[in-house]
Amino acid sequence: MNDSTPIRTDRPATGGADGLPLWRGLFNAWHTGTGHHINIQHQAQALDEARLAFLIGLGRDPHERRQAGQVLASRHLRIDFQKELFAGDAASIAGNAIASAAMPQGLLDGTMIRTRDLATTMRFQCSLDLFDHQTGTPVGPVTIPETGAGAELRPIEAPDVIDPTPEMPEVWRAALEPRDCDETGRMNLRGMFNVATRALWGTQLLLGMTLDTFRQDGFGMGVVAMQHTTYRLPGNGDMVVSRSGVTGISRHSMRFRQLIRDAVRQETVATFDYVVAFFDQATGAPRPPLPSLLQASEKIRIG
Amino acid sequence: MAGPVETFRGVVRSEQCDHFGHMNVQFYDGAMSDGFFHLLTLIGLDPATVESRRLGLAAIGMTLNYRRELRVGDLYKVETGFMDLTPGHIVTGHRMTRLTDGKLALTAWSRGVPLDLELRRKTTLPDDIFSRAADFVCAPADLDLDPEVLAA
Repeated sequence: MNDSTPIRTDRPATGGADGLPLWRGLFNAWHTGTGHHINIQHQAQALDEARLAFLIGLGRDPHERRQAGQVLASRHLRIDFQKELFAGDAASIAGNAIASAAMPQGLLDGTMIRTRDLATTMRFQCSLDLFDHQTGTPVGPVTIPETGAGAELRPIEAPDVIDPTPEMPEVWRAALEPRDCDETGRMNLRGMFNVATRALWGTQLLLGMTLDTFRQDGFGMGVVAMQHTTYRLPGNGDMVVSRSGVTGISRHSMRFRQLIRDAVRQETVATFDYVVAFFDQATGAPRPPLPSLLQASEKIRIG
Repeated sequence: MAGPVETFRGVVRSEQCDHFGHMNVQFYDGAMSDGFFHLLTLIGLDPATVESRRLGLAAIGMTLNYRRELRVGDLYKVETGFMDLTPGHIVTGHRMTRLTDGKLALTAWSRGVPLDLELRRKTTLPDDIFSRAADFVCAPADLDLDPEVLAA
């Protein structure tokens, strides 16, 4: 990559985060979701571009990789969401490769900074892995030389449930279309998060948490942490199903596991574990879960 | 130090490409639109300020010079600066660089006016915003643009 020309970036460079500049962009009104903030699938899109930019920065030519029939994705991805983003917010991502005890090939450690106040909105760590675009199966990890230091994000506790249990209702079902996929026809990260976020709404609805509930009670729920594991990348035309269960409840939050499955092959292709925090919409202060939510969640409790 | 600033950095996605196999022109324009909003945030016109002060900007003309095609997977950046700045009229320049090989992909420039979002009419930049915008003034040559564009 020829990026040696000195460039002037936001002050301080890349918005205060240490690391290599990987992405810079804007979230627009059409990126907002039902909760009126930017839907996490668009943050995932920025993350996807950031990891591609990181590889290009290492001198890996994206066109050569595609010609070799390989797709870049992450078998392991962990995200902390720290601040909301709204329509019109500019942001940037900077990152470094760090050493990892669990991932010998190293992790890309990235931070998204909101330009208007230099607040950290998202912190993520992901492995970089190559997948075969014909089959969607992993080919192997990309070993990345360390470019910085950083502590690993704490894993989200989750039971080792890969196959669905009777307690896990189906909360999403659809066939993948080109808009869900990259140029090779394999599901991209935004597409995967699109399923996850819609399936989360589906799960909330099954637990009685409708938009009316949120409006009437002032109760709020928001994803604050996520862990995503990819086993196989489904492709254009595949039927994808999501099944979901509650894996833990604490004073102001609840944990969920989603299985993303290929409905025809009857296999789990990815999992999402996420932590949803409860808060008061008016003040933003933490709130305990509604009693009706606690009662309903017992029906889909797993692990 | 006045001068242009990086306002966009991203990778060409498959859904941005047309059947010619390169990024469709609408997304070049989109990157510069997003980059311009990024620059507005840097001069104090973030979304909350736009809402509270009911102040925006409107483009009244734009010229784009395509130099290289961008294909899916290409990494690129946009740098942006104000080539002419008065309280009532702004000329903005953009340079897009294909970072995969460091080649110039596009230059562009636009004319705009401050917009009163209540009256939906032209207005002027308040002093505090104008002052911060002055920090991003640059010459056309800083963005590989012909100085003649300012005379157009």
